[in-house]
Amino acid sequence: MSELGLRRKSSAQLEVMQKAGWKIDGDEKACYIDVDEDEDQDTENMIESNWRYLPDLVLEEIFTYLTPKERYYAGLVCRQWYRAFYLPTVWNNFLVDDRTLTKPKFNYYSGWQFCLDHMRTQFCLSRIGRFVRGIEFRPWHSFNNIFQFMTMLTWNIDKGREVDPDTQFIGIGSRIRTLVYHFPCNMSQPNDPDGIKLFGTGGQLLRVLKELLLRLTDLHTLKLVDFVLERYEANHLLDEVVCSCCTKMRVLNLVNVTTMHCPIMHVGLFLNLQTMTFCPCWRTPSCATCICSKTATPPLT
Amino acid sequence: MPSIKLQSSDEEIFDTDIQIAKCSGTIKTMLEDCGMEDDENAIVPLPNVNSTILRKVLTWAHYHKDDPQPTEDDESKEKRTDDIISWDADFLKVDQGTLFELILAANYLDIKGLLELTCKTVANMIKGKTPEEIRKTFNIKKDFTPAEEEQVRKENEWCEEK
Repeated sequence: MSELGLRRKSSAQLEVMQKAGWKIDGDEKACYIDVDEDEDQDTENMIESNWRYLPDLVLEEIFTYLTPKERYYAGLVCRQWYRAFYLPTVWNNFLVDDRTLTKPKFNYYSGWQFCLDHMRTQFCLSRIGRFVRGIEFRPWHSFNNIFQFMTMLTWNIDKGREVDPDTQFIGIGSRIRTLVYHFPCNMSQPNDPDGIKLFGTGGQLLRVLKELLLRLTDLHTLKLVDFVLERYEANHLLDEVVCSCCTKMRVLNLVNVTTMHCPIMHVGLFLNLQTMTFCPCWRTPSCATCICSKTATPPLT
Repeated sequence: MPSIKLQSSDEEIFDTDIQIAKCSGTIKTMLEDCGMEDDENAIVPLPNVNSTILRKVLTWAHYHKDDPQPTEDDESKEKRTDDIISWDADFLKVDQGTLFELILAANYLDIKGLLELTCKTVANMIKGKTPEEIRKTFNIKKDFTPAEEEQVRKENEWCEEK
């Protein structure tokens, strides 16, 4: 296909070269006729394909496989595809990692670093924040970006809930059902023998996460992995979640959340929990009793 | 194995194993709702699929007949495009027209696995290309006015990694 296109193009170029050149015009004056290679002409003559008329469902499916940048480029192809850019399921899942919505900044100590671009983040949230149903945080090392992203999302949700909110804030975050946060607990320098091998999160990062969780009132799946929290923080990990969605939570996945044995009794308060995954250090009599006492719930897996 | 007859738009009849035919949600519903399952001579008309495409679809369905049923809970499933198995990749070494028809057929017949596969393939054709290159690949004409294009750029510029 592309080979054919190339060949066609080169023959067209030849033609152009033959047409261009010095000619004698009507008044017998020499003039240079420059024929621009016109891209549009090429596209006008080509046989129009049907690809632009794919059904919405199909376009939606295709767009979900693209990264935001690829969606943007595909949206610039034609009107129909631009419309597909804003189909809600396209933005079902939003992945936040080190490079999401960042811009490079120079820093004298560590060279170029990617920092969260607040302008872009705000644009992103106002455009598609209301479509997002699942959000996944997968930071490698830039906790600062993740911290700022969560703060901005929380602020936007609050703005949208004000009385008479600005239209750009309406509905942001209101559809979030799933939150997944993998903390990279083993990312310390592998070649440093004295370095800590494993460390967890907590402090400010945990605080903003909890602030955000407090606002996600429709959450039904929560996965928190490798947090490795100290006991005093682990005890209160789910305080906010219980407040915001104790009846809606269905899937709870807490793996490697604490440094030591620390039963989190909150699980007993999620009335409609269906699936729960946790690591062995949790399997304590008190916790088990707590789960078993919920006779109304279906068996836990 | 009981079989049924599927009729393509150009009136070719395909004797098909009922289990294979049922990978299509559309055919499954038709069979169950119309009570055609027990009728050996029943013919299921498929006016939107021609014989060439239907033959391909059935080949695909035959190969994938033992695949596990896709689960409902794919909301959090990661969307990858690099997990196409080699049989499928070979199966889709077809011209664009056929690929397009296959997508429409998978959509009409409601075959989730085939729709996913074909959409992934199209996504792979889009990946890494500029808008102009995408238009060239799919023979799509730009129908934006310059002003509209500028507008779209302004609106969605945030997507572009810097």
